[in-house]
Amino acid sequence: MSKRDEMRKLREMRMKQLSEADRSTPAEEVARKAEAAISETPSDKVNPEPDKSTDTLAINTDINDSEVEMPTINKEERHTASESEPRHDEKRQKISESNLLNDVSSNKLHDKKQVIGNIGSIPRLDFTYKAKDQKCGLTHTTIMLTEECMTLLKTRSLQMGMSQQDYFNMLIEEDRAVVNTATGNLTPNETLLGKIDLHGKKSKNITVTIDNYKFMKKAAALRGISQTNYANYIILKEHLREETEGRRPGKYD
Amino acid sequence: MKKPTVIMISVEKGGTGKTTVALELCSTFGKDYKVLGIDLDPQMNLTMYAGADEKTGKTLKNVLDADILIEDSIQHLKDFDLIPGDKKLANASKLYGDADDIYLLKDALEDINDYDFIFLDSAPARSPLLYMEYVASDYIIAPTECDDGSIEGLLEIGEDISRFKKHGQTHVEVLGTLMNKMENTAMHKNSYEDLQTLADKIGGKPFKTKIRKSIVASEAKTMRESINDYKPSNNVALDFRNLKDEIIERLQERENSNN
Repeated sequence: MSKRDEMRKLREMRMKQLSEADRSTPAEEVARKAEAAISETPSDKVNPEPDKSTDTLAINTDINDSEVEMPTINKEERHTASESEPRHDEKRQKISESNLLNDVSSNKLHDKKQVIGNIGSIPRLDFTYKAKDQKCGLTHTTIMLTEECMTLLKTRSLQMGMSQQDYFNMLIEEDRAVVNTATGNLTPNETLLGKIDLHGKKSKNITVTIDNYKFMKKAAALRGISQTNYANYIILKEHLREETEGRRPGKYD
Repeated sequence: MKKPTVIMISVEKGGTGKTTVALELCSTFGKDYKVLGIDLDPQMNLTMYAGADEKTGKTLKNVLDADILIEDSIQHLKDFDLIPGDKKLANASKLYGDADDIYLLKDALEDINDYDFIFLDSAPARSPLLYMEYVASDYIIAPTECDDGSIEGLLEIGEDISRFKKHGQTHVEVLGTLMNKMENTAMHKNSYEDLQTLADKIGGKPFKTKIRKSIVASEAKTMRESINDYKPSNNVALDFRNLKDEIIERLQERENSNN
């Protein structure tokens, strides 16, 4: 049989299956749907459940950034009969970032040396984080920081015993975990955004992981801010968190 | 339902920017139309640079081998859909040696009518895959650089199309040649004039839009994004948006002249 004939035969078989499915009884239909739901794998879900394992660095750096939910764009639905995952068009609830960060879970701290606190149910990273150890590789970029953010970046990274590069990447990694478990649009803290005055901004060449670089663009879009503002925002957010919850322990603490 | 317009991005020379053009057209058209990209290059560069999943095991080869239906291989990306390529297609000459096999892609595409445009990213070499594209496509966009090798590649397209049309196997036309990686030099300007001179032999005029050379093209590939998404304000992204408008205009002219 030629390949063309095989293709034709495969199509006919599919058409037959579809027409048989149309003729099925309601009970059979329910059973079929239940079976399909049971066989759905965890990776099919756009927003997976947070990893509650006892791994200390439980932030899942393998999460594909394409799984991050983008703001819905008002386009026609596509009606392809593909088995690929359809786009998610569910309505989203707005959630405040400050509520998400303050929602401390009751998870135990299994290794006090490495896990120093949680972001919700996500363990926080610490001074042992190294950007160069991430699997995705590194890339160079330039960010524009306010004078305050530049000072915070230099000071806190020094105090933590980390390089500025590792400190900055650590903050982005934690934000990725927050965004990946969020189920709605993220409303940024307006007070923090108001503090970002880019007059007299300073340029900083920095190395970021490739995943973080891609993520910065998306994280900024999710919050409705520019990438430049996002880079400053996460530094200010960490500063605000440390003022309210206490400083993150560093290498020399 | 109107059948999709199938456009192959092809020239029989490597390095002219076919994959970049294919990706950018998918992304740019995808903002306004329903678009499907298909990666026919065994190097799978379109699949990689579009940020698609390279390991689904549901590729174009599976479709051509009748292991799965075409709709089972489609991945939904941000602005367009994509059928990923397959490294095993490097053996296309052995895999698809029957005379009838040049119709496989056309047969598969007949089952999908949900798209406005389908863009095919071609391998640079003559192979059964390229012949499948000639048979399945409505139009060719041929990117070129300012060197003699690119011009030769364009002339070979003209010869191939004539041969296929002689046997009644294709109705494909060259929609236009595209000056890629354009710089402001005398050599580039001369090359563009050569394209205009050779329009009759090649079978299509050069597009007025020229795609400027920029390092952003490489940066976007590293980020696994189109330039249109990575840096939409960049000159190259602007050039592709202008190219989109020019393509639509030419398609409408062709449609009007056919009617």
